[in-house]
Amino acid sequence: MTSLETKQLTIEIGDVSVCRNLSVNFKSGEVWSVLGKNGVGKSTLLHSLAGLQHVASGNILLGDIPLKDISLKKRAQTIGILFQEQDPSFPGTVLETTLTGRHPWLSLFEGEGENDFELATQALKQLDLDGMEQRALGSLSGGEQRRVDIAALLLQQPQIVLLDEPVNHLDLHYQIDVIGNLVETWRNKGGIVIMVMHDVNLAMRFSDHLLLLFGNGETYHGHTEDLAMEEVFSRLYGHPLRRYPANGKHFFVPL
Amino acid sequence: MTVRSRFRGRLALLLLLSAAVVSFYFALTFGSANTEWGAVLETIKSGSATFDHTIVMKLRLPRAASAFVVGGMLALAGALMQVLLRNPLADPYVLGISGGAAVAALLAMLLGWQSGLISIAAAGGAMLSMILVFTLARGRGDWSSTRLLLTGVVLASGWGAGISFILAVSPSSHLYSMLFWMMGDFSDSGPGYIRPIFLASSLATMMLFARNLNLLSNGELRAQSLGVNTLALRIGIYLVASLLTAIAVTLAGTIGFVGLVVPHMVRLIVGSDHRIVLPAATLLGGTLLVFAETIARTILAPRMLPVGVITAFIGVPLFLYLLRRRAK
Repeated sequence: MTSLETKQLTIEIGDVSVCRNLSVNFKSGEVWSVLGKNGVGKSTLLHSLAGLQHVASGNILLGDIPLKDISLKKRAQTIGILFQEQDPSFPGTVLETTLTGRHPWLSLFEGEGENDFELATQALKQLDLDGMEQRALGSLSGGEQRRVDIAALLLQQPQIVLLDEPVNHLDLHYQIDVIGNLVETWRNKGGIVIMVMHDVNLAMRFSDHLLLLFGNGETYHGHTEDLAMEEVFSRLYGHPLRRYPANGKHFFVPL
Repeated sequence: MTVRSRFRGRLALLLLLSAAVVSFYFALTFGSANTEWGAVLETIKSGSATFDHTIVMKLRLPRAASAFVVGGMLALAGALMQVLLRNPLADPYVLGISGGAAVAALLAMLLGWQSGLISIAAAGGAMLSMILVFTLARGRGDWSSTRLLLTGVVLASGWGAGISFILAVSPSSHLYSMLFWMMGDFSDSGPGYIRPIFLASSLATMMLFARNLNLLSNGELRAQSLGVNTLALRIGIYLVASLLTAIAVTLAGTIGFVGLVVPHMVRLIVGSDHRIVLPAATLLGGTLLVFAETIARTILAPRMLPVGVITAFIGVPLFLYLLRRRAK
């Protein structure tokens, strides 16, 4: 069983204190949403959890081992991240980009094998991208590029996935279908999902835990139902919200 | 689908290899004294010191071999610099390595040094420039592409001013050879086994990391998240690309165009997988320069044109054609 844990984690970017002495344990089978206003450092936190960002103090543990003591390859086999944007200087094809997800599993002297191509074909089919394998990445729409990134993430097969605004650019159908599927798959196989969300209601729908960043170093974390209160969210966003029950869950509407 | 794209890459490499062979055929037979291919083969086999033998083995073959190696080095270095700096306008000279070499070489010429010493001076200037950029770009452990690019570009323009200054104060008797050196010239190229070996081993090493290069060109964070040690990789690329450039410049001056455009031509033809791009660029760069060198010494014979002029004359229309074809 995997777990990702922060101990007394403090992250700062410039004048913004993202979190101060944050100790939280992300456990196997849990789906977390990170919420907060623009610029409070949600992406920075996600990058830190992936080991891509320097932290001011504190520790991030993967299992019992500090993240920084784990080899880059092993780390990439365990933790995968979906970035907000693509910015390739020399864009490859859809297939090539999808296959980049296999990199952590291949040795220096190895090329992608039949098995890797098989995985890529499946993932592209699952994301409605079959038939587009040889298209140049630059010729795709934002939503299609996003789905290529998700396909690459599926090929990476990490136990822990970090998603930075996963529904960005995606149509309503893919928001629910693709992200919903991904979240359910990881939940069922005992993985961990931590995602930065803009849409409170999608967060309520998909995640069982919340991590709220207030932008002054203060953080709340816990079960979604425990934190989903009007006063908490109104303070979080600096705007009054009202809670309505629907389908056994709660939904929020800004006033 | 996948089999097809791999097949395409291999086919392209095979075609480029044939083109390289053709370029050597061209280089060995054409010249002020035309030599039949049969005679060329005969002289190579017989090894006797006939007039043809001297021309082919002592003049044409070494020049063609040097041109191939230099072209390969420049194209490979250009492809690497473009990945390193994440900038399609990057070329081997953008970080000022050639500028450093040129300033040192021109100073040596001004002091009346012999050609061997001029090469050593050029090598020294290139190394100095390489070390300067490397250390200056590295503030607080940060070694970002932008910072590296800016450091290199500023240093390069400094060297440029240095070159203008030297040209302005040099006696006119020196000017011709100085200009010719800068435009690119193979007139004193020895055979030398070290350069081809260095090119081959650079290519082989970078091929091992070609998949990492693909990831790096998708963005540094992205590459890190997939397990690439990007800092080490980028320093490695910098060293290899700089050394290739330094050696090429020392041997043949600053031949323009090859390092910038050949990698792009290759990407237009075979796509952006560096496992194909790197060997293809090396082959195409070498081939193009062998052709250019042959044309440069034959077209207005006995007058020799600077090779850099010919590479641009061939390359510009070829590149524009490929770009237009791709745009459709």
